[in-house]
Amino acid sequence: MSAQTSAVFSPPSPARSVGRVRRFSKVLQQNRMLLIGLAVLLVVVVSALVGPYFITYEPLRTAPEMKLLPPSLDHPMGTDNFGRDILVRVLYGIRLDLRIAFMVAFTALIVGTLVGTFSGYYRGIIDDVVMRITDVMMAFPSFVLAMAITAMLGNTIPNVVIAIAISYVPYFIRLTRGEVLSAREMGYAEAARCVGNPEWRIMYLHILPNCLTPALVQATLCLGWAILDASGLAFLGLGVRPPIPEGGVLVGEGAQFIISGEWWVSVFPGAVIVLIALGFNLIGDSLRDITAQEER
Amino acid sequence: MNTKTQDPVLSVDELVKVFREGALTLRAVNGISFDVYPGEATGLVGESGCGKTTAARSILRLIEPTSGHVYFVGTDLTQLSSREMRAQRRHLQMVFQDPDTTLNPRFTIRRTLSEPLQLHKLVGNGSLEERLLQTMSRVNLDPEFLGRYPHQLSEGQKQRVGVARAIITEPKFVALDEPTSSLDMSIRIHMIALLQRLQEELGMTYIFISHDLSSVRALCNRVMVMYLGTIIESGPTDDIFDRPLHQYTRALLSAIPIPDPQARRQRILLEGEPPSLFDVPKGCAFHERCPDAQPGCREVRPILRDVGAGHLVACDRV
Amino acid sequence: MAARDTLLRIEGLSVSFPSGDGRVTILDNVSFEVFGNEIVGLVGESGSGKTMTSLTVMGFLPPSGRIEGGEVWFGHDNLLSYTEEYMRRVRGRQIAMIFQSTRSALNPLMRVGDQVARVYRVQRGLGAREARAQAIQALTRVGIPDAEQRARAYPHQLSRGMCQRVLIAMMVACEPALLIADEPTTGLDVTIQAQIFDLIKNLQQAANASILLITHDLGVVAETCDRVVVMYAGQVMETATVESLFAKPIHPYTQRLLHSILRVDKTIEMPKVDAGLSEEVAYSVAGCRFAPRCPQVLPRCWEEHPPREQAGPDHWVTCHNYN
Repeated sequence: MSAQTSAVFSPPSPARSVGRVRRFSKVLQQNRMLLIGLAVLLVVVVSALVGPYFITYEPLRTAPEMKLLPPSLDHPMGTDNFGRDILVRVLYGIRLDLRIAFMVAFTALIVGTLVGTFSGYYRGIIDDVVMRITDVMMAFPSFVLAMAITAMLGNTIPNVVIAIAISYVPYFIRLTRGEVLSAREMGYAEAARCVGNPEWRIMYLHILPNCLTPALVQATLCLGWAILDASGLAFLGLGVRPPIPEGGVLVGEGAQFIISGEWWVSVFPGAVIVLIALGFNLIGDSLRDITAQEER
Repeated sequence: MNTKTQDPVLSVDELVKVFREGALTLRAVNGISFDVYPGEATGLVGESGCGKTTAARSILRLIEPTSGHVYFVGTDLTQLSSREMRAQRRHLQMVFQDPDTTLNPRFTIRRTLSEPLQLHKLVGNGSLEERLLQTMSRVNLDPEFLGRYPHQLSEGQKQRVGVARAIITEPKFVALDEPTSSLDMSIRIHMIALLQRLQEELGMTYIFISHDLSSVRALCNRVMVMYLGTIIESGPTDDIFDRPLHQYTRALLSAIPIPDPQARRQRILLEGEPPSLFDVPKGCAFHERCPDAQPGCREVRPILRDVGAGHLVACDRV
Repeated sequence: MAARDTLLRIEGLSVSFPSGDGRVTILDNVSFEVFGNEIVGLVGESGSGKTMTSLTVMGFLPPSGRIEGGEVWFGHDNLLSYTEEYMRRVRGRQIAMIFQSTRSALNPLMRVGDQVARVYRVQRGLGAREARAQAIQALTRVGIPDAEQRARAYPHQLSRGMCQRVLIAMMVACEPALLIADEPTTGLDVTIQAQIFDLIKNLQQAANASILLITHDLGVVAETCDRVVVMYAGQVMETATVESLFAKPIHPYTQRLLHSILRVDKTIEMPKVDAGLSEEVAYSVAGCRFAPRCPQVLPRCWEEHPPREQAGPDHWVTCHNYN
């Protein structure tokens, strides 16, 4: 019945770019979460990009005479143990965290979807092996896995990215494989073969584009998790080390001063981390809702 | 269309397709053989589970046959490597049944139609557009649709895109899998007329798989009837439809309602339902439901014999 | 014309649905009758509104649909004025409906025998054991062999044809005065289809009930129905006995329909290949909605609704050309 009514109620219409803009704003209207998430991120990103130009303090220059000053007009977030302005360090930290997050999400997405598509398409022994490997990887909490890999590889930023990305890859593999398992049965996959496509084209040009949506939503969520993971590792002394300004590093540096009353050294960086992760999570969650609705 | 002096375009020899699910064996296609000559349109008919769809896909090697040979213009398709088979596909195309799922929803019509030409390197950059426009006009589609996506088209339009995709490489042979079954009754005749005209224009040979016998009668000059994985009758269209010999064919034809209240029908109502493909009976596949069955039918599987003028039947009682 | 009792009379029914920025009138002034002890075929192509008509009669109109006007008389009552609670009493007992998707109409978790027995318990108030016995009888009546054993099967263990028979058995249990069957053989093989229609016809005669048979297949209409209603784009084009319609189709749409269907008993002449494949249905035309495609269209066809004229003892046409 619904197929019949949809044939009646949606007559063919040409796509218009005006329609797309209007649709996007309609989507924003109906999804408050998305709006808030985007707003939060916008604020964060803009201040991280633009902010340092307005501030004269340098993130790495120490000034022992200014140490541990509470928040004031000169130093909106106060200064730390070495007299460095915390706000400027936070802003540089945001830049680094965002870079790490995007590199992690991008890497995990690419590797995960490529492997997942291959595994789901060919099935058989290859699929079994891949599934067992992902099983093993997912048996570890992703943070613990990232910790182990970082410890093995050494404390550099690229290594942190690799470690966290590896801990996320199994999820992308599973997600994509699931979509591919049903997509490969679809008529257009068979039609693609009939027309003369080699297997790799059927997999990556025909099937994968139709299976990307859940992976993209997951990638958005991973942006938020990556920040939390990277900060967590840095706090523990793995990955990014002081004096490089990064969310977790800053929180770590300020941890010892909470008891003595200089709360601002940890709390501001921590709050910013939470804010960014929240922004990405809101976006990711609302994207998941939106795409689930559109499936119906 | 006297084609017997030429060699067949397609020659199928004892094609078998068996699916195994653990311990169970499903004999979807149980050894079929036939020839199709250039310019012919051969109908392959039967009800659900008869194996016609599986047979078509096995012939085109969209699924791998279990045994048997398929000779396409002399070449044995079953022996080819994947690359060689892909090259053959330029001339071995298929129009699929459900246009909703067989057009990639993320591709524009232009991309869907360009792909076969690009894969087989049939056009330089200049002539691609020309070829697309030519094909669109062949199937009576407005060139404006090239920039659209499948969900923006109606059923009939999508079906025509499917036809366009199949003919754009100007293949020698096209398999049509239920091309009219999802169309409204008043539109079917137009699709058949289109398919007929295309066949003449491009000199193609068709195999038409369908359970809609009225469409088959309109388009095909030969018909093969399948039941439970085997061909039980075949011959010229008028012969099969007006003078069916096999009991199943007769029951099948009598079951089709005729849009004429004056037509007096002697309806042959069959008992029960076809046996499962997991459990194909020994002997004649139809004997359990045949009104004319004899004890011998249970033992010996009848072979397809010519009873005159190219009319073949697989029945020992005829 | 002999007086017949009218079982169902639909008068001027109009239903609209939201579309884009406004509303589209999916059913436009639909009127026809179903008399006692007959099978009426409701014929049309996709988008003709035949399913929507039956859903409206049963009170199954989707929430976004709005009844713009008209009445549905069943006996002395207008069904459209009934509350949902009252309709529930009518459904099953007086009017029953079977749909296309057979398997999804049955509860996958209940054995089929129990489902049929449940109808007897709920609708006829029988006790458990009696209901079971009646259910097995009903299953036998609809041609299910080994009914006693098959009753213990679950729907997914039966073929589609068998499932449809089970649904018909449930109808038999209800003993409705009117049965609406919406394309009951979609997806079924032709030989099974013949069996099902044979069964439906026998049951109808035995029960003296009436059937409103919705179909797109004119062959089914010719062989199974007594009268036929032809719809296009939500409007009724022509109503007649089956003999009258096939012998002398009057409405241009009916004529075109009858001339363009493929036959299995003879070879048809092919039309010229034109844009005959374009099927945009015109819901926005104020008058007769076939105007855009009508070979005999007059200027007034676009503006005015044609009147319903009688063309024979039981033959009605809605067309400006007939006057």
